[in-house]
Amino acid sequence: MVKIIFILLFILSISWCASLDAHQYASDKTKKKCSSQNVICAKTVTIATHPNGDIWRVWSNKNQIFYAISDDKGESFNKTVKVQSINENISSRGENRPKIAFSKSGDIYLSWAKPGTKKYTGDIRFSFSNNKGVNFSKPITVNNDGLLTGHSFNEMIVTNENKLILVWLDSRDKYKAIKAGKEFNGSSIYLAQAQFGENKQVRFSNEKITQGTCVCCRLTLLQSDVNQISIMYRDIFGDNIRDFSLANYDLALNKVINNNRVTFDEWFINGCPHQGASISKSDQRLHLTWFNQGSKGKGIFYAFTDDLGEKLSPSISVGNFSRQAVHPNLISNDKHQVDIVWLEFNGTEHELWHQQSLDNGHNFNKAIKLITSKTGADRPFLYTTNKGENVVSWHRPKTGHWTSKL
Amino acid sequence: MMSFAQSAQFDKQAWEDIQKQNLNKNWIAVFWSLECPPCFKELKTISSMIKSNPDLKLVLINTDADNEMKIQMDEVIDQYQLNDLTLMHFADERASQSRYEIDPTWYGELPRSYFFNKAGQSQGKSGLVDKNILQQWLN
Repeated sequence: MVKIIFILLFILSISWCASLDAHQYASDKTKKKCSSQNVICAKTVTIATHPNGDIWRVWSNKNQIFYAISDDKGESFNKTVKVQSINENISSRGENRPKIAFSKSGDIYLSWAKPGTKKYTGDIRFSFSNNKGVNFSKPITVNNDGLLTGHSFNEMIVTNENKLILVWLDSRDKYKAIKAGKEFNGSSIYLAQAQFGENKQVRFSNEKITQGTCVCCRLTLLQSDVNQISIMYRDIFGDNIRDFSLANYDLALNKVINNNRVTFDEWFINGCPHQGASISKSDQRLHLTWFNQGSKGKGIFYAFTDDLGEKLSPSISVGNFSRQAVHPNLISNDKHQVDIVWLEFNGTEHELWHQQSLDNGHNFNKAIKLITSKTGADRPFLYTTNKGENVVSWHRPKTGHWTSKL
Repeated sequence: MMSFAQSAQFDKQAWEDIQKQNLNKNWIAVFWSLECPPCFKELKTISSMIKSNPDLKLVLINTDADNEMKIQMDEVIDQYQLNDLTLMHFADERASQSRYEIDPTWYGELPRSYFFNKAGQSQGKSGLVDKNILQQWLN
């Protein structure tokens, strides 16, 4: 036993890097000497709440994944830890980034997209720890088609029933169609449920959700009822109208319950918007936010639905379209608080903006500017602490990672 | 041995200079990224146009704004034999700033093309552009 503890301590000591408080770093000093474990050198940061109340942030750099834990709701983070078992290409910029989730008992799950040797190919990868992050399992591939084709934009959650669910954009149907000499526009969405066996074995089912989706916008995934998940994704309608749909899936029956178009802005583009949506749930209400540049709607919008997207509230315009308002994200809580954050650009600085509703999305307070960045700007994200507080997380490459209670 | 393209870093001055140099001509600026699968169709089209018209009045600008992706960008340019075009790329982490200097009403969607006329006025278009439209504008 003493020997095991000694070995664990040794592993910890070699994997801990310098303590990193984002606020301590000036932008210019680090420009030329970015060390890979330094969070401010990362392009993206992912954040999530552990069942014990700790906040974990995850980032990647040069084939490695790093994490740091906060025991004060994300105000400050402890030492950086490098995940020793992962050493491979990891997609982590723009709409792509590693994901983290936790089982009810506190096991830690990591997933990411690993770019392949050929352009626009790659796999969805997974590794987990059941000893509080001291060791992570050897990564395995989640998609089961074995094809050298695209698998990317992974999202991951653990449901209240403790099921680990992943969804991603998958090009296997397109690959097969082209091999058969058929036309295929866009990509497909696949879902995996994990089954944990003895000896830490994990297997993933692969189920198709839909096909003909946009190829370059991240998905958004949440649990919308008992054994039910919902995915909001950028769909393709007719001749390259790229509006959003909401697919609702029953995890017990393994089937799509329904799939509703939820935005009607009519954005025609035979190209890449690079703008995914965001959803959150309070009571039976799903809150939605998205960006479009359609003939019928331009900018960021918010709406809610009480019936999985069959009917929607009138959409509310959010942010200042003429100041490049983009990349909205939202979160709601049991107190009927809905927080939306997004980015604007004033010509020289990125600005993080916030708007809040305290009546479950019926009315929103005036938008306020939270903070700016003179350097880079990752998409902003939101998380809820185990006390039910909504917190914003914004990573500013070359400046630092920033969090603030809303 | 591979011969890599000479792409210049984008800044406001360089953008203004290109516009001045191309006054009295119809020309097109095409913006692309490694993270945009449809952009590669556009590159393929442009590549085929160069073969029949080596003096194509088209400027190609990469928007990845990431120094670590520069080698991959050069490889793509080389692969599609686009080295003879005027090439530029956004500076590291300066995608938004660069876009704003070009057009504050462009939100980053790709591919993005600007059709410049002889008077130096331009019209932006998002998404793939048909080869016939490109050729018509340049003839």
